Amino acid sequence: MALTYGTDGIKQKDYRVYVALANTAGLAAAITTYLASSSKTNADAVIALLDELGECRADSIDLGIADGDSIEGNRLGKIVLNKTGTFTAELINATPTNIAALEELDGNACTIMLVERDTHGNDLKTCILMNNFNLSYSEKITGGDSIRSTINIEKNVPDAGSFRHIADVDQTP
Amino acid sequence: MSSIFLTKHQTLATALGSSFPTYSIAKSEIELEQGTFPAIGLFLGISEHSKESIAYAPISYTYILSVFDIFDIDDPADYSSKQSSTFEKLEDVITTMGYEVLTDIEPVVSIGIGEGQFITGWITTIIFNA
Repeated sequence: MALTYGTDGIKQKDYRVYVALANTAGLAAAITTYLASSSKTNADAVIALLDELGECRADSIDLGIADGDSIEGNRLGKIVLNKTGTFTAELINATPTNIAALEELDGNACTIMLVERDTHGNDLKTCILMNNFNLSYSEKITGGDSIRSTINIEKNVPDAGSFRHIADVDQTP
Repeated sequence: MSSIFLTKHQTLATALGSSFPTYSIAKSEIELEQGTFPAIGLFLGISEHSKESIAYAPISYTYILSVFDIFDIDDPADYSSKQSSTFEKLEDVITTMGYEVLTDIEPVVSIGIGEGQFITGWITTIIFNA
């Protein structure tokens, strides 16, 4: 364990959302390379194979990892057996073309990557990768508002790292 | 100068100068007043701090962005023309530089900056995460 005290991580972050079918040609290899070495070049290679979802409502981009099933132990108390990972994002630029493209992703295994919009610290961007999860699409059309298209993924996983890979990627050329 | 709030201001002003070489870039109100026109103003705004932390932890920075030009106060057509050109230029700056805009674009009707000299333009606030 290597916890460090400081205020460096207290940052308000916004993210760009990239998404594509998990079986997109070349994507699996690019992700393997990126997971082995989270460099800007390798991250850009993954992003190049994904499409940007946007414009999204900034605070709708929501990734959560919560406790799943648990057992009450007689000595140790609550033992959590798994975690529930969820991700949602709401597209506000819901043009008919964008809606049709998202419908094609619905029900299929997808790869999603969140990339920090700005940089923080010494030219770093936080990148969060979720690979090979079934994507669900839903929409809400209300008078007096723009059309909202929402994508969602959810899966029970043994630990947080099984749901997402998170890294600060150095943007210095 | 080491504060990111200040160094970012300098970096943004330099980038504006490179992208819009025909406009003078003013980093403060006084620099704008004493400079040449048409001008793009980029003034220091607010360094927002995370209230959840006891230590100072800035989370976002805002800067005031404006475009100004001199007009002839006796010529309504010139005034209208300068209002149009400065508004279009401000939209152009936002699009070209990819700024996130925090507040509405508001008109600055007219300001006297010297004997017989008046400027008009538009102003907004741009925001960056720290």
